[in-house]
Amino acid sequence: MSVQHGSILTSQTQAGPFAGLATRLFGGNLRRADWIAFALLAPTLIFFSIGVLYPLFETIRVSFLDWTGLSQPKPAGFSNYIKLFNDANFWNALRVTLTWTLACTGISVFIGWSVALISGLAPKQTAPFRVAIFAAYGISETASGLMWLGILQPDFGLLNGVLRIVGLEGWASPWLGEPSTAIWGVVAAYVWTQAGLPLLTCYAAIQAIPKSQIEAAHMDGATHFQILRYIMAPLSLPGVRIAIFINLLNSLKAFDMIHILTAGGPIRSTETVGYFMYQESVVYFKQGYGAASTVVLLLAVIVCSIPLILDKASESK
Amino acid sequence: MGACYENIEFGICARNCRYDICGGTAFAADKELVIFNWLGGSERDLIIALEEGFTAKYPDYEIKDINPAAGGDDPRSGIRSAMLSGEQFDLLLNTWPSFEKELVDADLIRPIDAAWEQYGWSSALNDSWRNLATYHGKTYGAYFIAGNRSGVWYRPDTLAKAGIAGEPTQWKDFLSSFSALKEIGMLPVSIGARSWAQTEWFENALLRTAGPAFAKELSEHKVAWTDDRVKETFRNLRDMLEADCCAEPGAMLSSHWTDAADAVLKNKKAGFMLIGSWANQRAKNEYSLTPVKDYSFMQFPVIKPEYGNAMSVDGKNFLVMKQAKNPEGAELFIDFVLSKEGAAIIAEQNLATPSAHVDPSSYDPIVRKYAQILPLVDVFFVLDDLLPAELSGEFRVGLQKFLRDPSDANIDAVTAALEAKASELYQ
Repeated sequence: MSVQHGSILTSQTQAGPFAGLATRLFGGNLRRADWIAFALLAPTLIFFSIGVLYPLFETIRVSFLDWTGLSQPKPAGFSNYIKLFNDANFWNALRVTLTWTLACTGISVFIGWSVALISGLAPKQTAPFRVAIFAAYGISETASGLMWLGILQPDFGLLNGVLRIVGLEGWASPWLGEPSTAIWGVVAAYVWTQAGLPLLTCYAAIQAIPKSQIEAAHMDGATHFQILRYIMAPLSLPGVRIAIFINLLNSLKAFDMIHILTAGGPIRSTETVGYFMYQESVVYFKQGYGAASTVVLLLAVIVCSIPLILDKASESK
Repeated sequence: MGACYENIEFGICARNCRYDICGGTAFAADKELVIFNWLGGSERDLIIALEEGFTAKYPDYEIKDINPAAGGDDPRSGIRSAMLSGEQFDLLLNTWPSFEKELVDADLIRPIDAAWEQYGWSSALNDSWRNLATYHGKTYGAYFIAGNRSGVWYRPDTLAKAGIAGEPTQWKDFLSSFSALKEIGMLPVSIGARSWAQTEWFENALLRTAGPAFAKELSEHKVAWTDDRVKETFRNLRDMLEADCCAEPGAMLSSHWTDAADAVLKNKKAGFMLIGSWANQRAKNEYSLTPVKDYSFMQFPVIKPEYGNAMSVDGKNFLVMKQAKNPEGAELFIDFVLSKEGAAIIAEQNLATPSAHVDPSSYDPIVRKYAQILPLVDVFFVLDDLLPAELSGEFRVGLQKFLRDPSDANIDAVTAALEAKASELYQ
């Protein structure tokens, strides 16, 4: 019996649940089950088309126009893309995006993973900290941004105030006013909001490790550090991988925090491609040019997503 | 009824012509006037008060006030978004001549010359105000609020404490007043350069260094941003920085004009700040200060005597949309705003109007001070609002770069970058 079930399952997985659907669809020979499947999928497909596909194709179309939103749009061919790649401000935005994305992803995943590993050793004792860190992930970026604005203010900010109290007045700085430090000020604020997700995914991966493995290691005389180093760390890597991809995509799309803290300044030192896109499309209303930068950002997001999609596809096989 | 409207050539009708042509109160249902009012705070209160005044005088009218929910730092994006999404309105409030020109070029607003003559608005607004809203020989807007953008704000008690007798009206005196302020532990000048307020300093220094005619040519890119008079303006500002006027660049680049206002007018930590006349509202409403007694302003110090009479101003006008369903009502509203009743409402809200129908005695002392100067000076509309938005963005960043490094080499680099952007945009 079990062998028979297994064979049915195998044959369905290999051929796919919609095996022959394309042939039936184009041959005008749809079955009743096919119609039901389409009917069930229809709401999703309709909303996906309205909410994702239409704006996507419209953005691509607009990227080939010269349009301020007021005047009549004029065809622009590839000129927006050519201009984009010759625009020093866009290259600056790409450089800032690279720094921003790597820093935000690397630091937030590192913090989340580290806390998850420590929490794996002492789940009960660390529960309040996990809740506190994850709670920050649930706070809106705007609210967090305003809070961090207060922390990083040059005159009456909390950070400079603490530095002055502990005798490190020389270290006090207008963090968000100096191009060299502004990006790190915004990264710190963003990491604070984002570290909760890696903590969650990594901790879930650690929880999935069979307890018998950890008990066996204990019985073999392994120290806490050895358990952490040789069992928990490698076995929690699937959670780390998911956290990296999600944080990477979130960082690429980040806007609110940058807008609140620096508005891309000073002197464009925190202007990511996402913010550049906003400036061009919404502030300068160069719709075509802004759309071209949106398409480039979209391509970057897709490229970053491919490994995760491939990874998920191989897992499902 | 719609056909009737279409048959009326806009702007030629007399005030109540539609009654004559189409018949009395049959139009009552069409007496809705839709106003796109993106203002906030006390200025929004003023528009509401004007709308209430209008409907009190013309009870047949009903006003729908549209206030965009979002628009970021620049309300123009909110206006554009509303237009793109098909929002219908009769009147648009505007403050940017560059945006007005865009609307004219896109054929989205109507000329109001016929209404101007019909209602006799020249008795309210002189030609310089009319010229500000004239494009290709046609007038498109009527200014009803005027603001002083050359006001350097201070507290009299701060100057007295520093032993500064009287307002330093000359540039040299202004720079030398810094040492007295520093001696009492104050920052001489507070500049909030995080976003745009740094441009106020450049624009006023430009007016005082090269005059309004040159500034106009620069705004139209008839002279280059690399012109030596632009560089001379930067060098004059450098004198101010070298006189140790300000906080370190990072502190300037991370603060807004509101922080500067707090430092000068509220916390008494700095001596002077330069910002538009809305500082008056902030001082009165948020700091509960008494005008003149607790705070005041002086005009930007004179750098070259031949340009000592120039004044940077801003203003707000109403534009009648091409798509307006009720253009006659829109004109009637403009007429009300410029009238004695409208001017009285504006004065009551502590704002100045360029309308000659205002009674100056109804102004508060601060508004009266700059309203009295207004007819006597060469006015020039604030440069940042005359520039295309993209050049304005480059202008703001360029000034941030200058504040960090006011060397000759950097002045050359900043002006070259501005010229490159202007050349691209004014093609």
